[in-house]
Amino acid sequence: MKNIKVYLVIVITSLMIFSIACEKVINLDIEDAKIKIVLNGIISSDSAVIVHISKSRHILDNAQISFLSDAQVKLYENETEIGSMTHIGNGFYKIHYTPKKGFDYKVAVSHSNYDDAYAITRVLNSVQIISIDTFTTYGQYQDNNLNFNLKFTDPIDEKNYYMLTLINHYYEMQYSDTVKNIDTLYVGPDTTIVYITYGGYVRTPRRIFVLPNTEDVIIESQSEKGLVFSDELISGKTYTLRFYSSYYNFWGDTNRVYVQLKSIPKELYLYYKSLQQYYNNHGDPFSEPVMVYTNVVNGLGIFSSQSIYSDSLVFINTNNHWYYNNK
Amino acid sequence: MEKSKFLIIFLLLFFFLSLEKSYAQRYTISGFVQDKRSGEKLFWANIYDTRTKLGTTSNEYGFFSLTLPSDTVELTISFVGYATFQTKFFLNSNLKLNIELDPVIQIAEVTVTDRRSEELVKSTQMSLIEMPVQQIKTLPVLLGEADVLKTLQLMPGIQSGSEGSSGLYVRGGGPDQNLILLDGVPVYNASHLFGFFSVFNPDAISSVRLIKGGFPARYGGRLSSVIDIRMKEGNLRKFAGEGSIGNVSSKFTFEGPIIKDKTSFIVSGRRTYIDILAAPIISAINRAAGGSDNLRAGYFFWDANAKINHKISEKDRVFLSFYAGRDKAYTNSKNKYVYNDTTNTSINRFKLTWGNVTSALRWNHVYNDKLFSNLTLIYSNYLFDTGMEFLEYRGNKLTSNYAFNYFSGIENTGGIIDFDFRPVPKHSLKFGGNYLYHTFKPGVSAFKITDGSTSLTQEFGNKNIYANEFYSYIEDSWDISALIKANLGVHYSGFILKNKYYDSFQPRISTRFLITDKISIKAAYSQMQQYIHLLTNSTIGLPTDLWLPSTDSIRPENSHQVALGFNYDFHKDWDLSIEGYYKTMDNLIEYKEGASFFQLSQNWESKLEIGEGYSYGAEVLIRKNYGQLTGWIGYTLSWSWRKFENLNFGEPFPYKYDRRHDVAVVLMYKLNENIDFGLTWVYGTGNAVTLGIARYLPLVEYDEFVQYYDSFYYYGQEIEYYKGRNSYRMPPYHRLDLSANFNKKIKWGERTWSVGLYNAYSRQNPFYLYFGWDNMGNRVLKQVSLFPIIPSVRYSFKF
Repeated sequence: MKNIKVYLVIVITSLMIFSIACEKVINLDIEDAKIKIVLNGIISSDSAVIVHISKSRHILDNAQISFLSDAQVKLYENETEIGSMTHIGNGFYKIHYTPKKGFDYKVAVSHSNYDDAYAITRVLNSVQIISIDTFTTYGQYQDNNLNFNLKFTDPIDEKNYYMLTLINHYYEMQYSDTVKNIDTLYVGPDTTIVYITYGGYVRTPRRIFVLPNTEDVIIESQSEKGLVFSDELISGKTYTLRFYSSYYNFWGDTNRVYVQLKSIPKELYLYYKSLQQYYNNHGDPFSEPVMVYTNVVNGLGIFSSQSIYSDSLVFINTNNHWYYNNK
Repeated sequence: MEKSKFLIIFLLLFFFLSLEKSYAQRYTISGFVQDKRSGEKLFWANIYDTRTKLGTTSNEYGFFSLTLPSDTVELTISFVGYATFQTKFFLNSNLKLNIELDPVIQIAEVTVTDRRSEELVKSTQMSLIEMPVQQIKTLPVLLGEADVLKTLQLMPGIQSGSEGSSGLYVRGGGPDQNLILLDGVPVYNASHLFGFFSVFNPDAISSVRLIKGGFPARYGGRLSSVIDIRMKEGNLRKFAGEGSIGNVSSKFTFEGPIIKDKTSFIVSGRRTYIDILAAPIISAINRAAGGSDNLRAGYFFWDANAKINHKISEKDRVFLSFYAGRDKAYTNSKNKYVYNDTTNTSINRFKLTWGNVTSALRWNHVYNDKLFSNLTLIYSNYLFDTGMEFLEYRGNKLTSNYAFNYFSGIENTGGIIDFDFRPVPKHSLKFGGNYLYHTFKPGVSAFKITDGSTSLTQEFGNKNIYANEFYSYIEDSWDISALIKANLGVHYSGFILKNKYYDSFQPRISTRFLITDKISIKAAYSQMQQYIHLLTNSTIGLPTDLWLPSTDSIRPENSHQVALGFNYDFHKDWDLSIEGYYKTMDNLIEYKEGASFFQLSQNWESKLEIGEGYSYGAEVLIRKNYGQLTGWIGYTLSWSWRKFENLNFGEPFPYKYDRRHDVAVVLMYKLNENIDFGLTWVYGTGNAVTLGIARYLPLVEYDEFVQYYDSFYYYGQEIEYYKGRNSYRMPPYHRLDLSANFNKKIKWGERTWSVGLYNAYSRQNPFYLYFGWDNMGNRVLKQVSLFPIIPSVRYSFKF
């Protein structure tokens, strides 16, 4: 398919050359290209509020991205000021306050050089996972897949948006046969002695896929971060979502896979969907540029919330085969 | 809807009641208007009695019927480009009158009634453009290729797309909303060479007519315009030919009688030779660049028209017309190498072809001096085919073959019946219907793999879709009084696809109020429905565009348009027309954000967004029709918007070809019998594009590591900020074209040398914009332009 595109571009380009196409630099005449405050952050009811503040730059600006470390950032709960947020480095601002479900939160940012910006979001109730079933399918080239059937009930009489993510949690050790940083020894199968230089738990997102050919109709966007969908087709129903993930990035001896069903507000749903489309198509001359959604008034970025219902499954490596163990 | 139905029924009742009214003794003059030299029928000629101020026009087949009181008649018959025929007689019986008009050779010397102005002021039809073919041939154009559609783009309300393109955007509508009829047969992709030329060879065309509002009930199936192009019928009296040799193409037309005054034919052909001229250059460049042993690449198009016209009797005529055209872009490369004493050959082929075939068989019948019918059987086919193939030979043995093909298209067969009926002097009725059987081929891909002993052929994509479309109509051109005239009609159409049935009842009203003999006001309302959609890539116009039917989820497009016009015939050579319009359009389709033709794995319906559009504006046209200097100035002030729930976050956005100001100045100056000059200057507000104006960081969720990342970590992930879809305007477009024609009579006919300058002051007009880098490493906005100043020369002959 790519070759077709290349050939098409060659033919069109040849025609343009034949037509003595010419190129010149022109002025970018933009009426409203003021630098804006960029506010990014997702809050939830199980952790303190942290947001990131930076500033946009002109499309032709070559300078490095600048974080704003001297902005005044305030958090409001249902229009009542909770307090100011403190810069903790590289543009991140934090306040030790845990949001509550069903409440509206506003972050207002002001800075002497730029227009004030703010965004509002609501922390939603999470939606419970009823059950998760898994089974393995074996591919021809050891491309074995871990398949999931996830059952949940969409709340009735309200518009709901979701994001589904998988988190891989495992203990990682890094080995060296020369560097002796850690006391623990590991004796390899060939009796060589190696030293463990690092050991710790790692959490990484797992890529989720929907089944090809039988694509789940409710899935509207899929990316490395997860699957995004709304209840447009399943409103008020109990639904079993089918997806899979490869065994490829299982590491170590034991992996715990967290399945997270996140209830997200509409703004975050629009943001994720448009962001993924943006990355998929950016620079493609055959499609229209995609605008990424923002809910920041007078600014850019996304300030939203997520309410996570999480379940987990444990897989154990036995003779290079992974087996589902228990929760 | 119900109200409009009642209104129509009321009006029809009123009409039939009015038929009961008795009239004074009246007689009917009927017959055909034709060209004196060739015997070809003249469509839409004006027949007018200056005493009673009653008149009519000849229909699409040259037939007219005019009923007048028994009295002295002063009949004027006029047609643009022909000397006006005037006759005076006493009408005391029904009269058959076949009129032959003389083509005007020296316009400046002939005193003629200003037929165009008269028609403009007195007809109920508004928003009408008639373009004489001779004018199309005289005006300066790109590479000297006279082009029907590009000449229409010079009229107000009709806009071009991107640089050099022959796409038409009429009153804020899309290119798919134009019903382009060649001898009554719909043409689906009217472009050659990615839109730089239209498929209509002017040498084979006899008339061009475009309606952009106030649509008569006989037309339907598209929202924004009807472009009615009629092929020549062939000279009934003598053999004649014309041809030309130009920079990029040559063409030849030959016509003549098979049986004098009874049967005639015309054949016409055109082919470009860019490929032949460019082949050695491409090959040499390739070798110099160390490319494959043998590379051939090129592009060409050809088209051919043919028509036979046979007069069975005074009352019956048949016509058989045919058009075929094809574009092809290709690359072929062949590499040879020796391995283990065996010569191996690898061949790469790529092709991109598309084209139309249309055919019409038509039968005209005159029942009596008041009733005329035309039956047409039609066939049309548009096919787009692209593919690539890789072949590997060891010696002479094919060892592997990989091929990929993608094709799409649309095919129609059907019939149309039209009747013209003149029951009483003040009413002229047209009624009829049509049926079309559509076969949509919305994108099929085929893979073929042969590798050693393994062979696999697989097709996937969208299956053919079959649909039935029909309409019936009735319209009445009604002289309500000497001052007020109206054309009232209804158009009922239906579309059947599997078990889904859509239908539409569309009222059409056009009225004219004559303030004085030289001034009129017109108003029109029309509702249109369109059952087929064009899914088009919005960034560049390619023949990959898909024609698709309405389905369960994709409803038919429909529009409502109101138009108000003022016409003033203020000088014997000049006229003025001002029109305003407001148009709404529903169920428009667009690709979903990020979707495109290349995503073959998806069903086409899943790639679509459905929305609405609305446009409004004003058009001014000042025209000088006679004298040494002729031409026009057109100005359009317009707005065109689109609104889709899932595009631009539901906010209305300007249509890509929303153009606030559009100006065209067209001048033709005839210095003497042998030399004439042409000038066109166009100006248009820049096209609306989506362009990033800022960049910013995406969402990064905080974790224990992220606070240590520096800005470099985010560099590739930045988001470009667009203020809105199509919110940025490219620089304005303007261009001056000049031409000169040097005619000379020679012993066997006439020859013309035409020289032209396209873009005479070499304006770098924007084709597309992109962000790049300058020599100093600064990020800059770059504009790519296609055509600088391009001279052209063409030698034409006629005998």
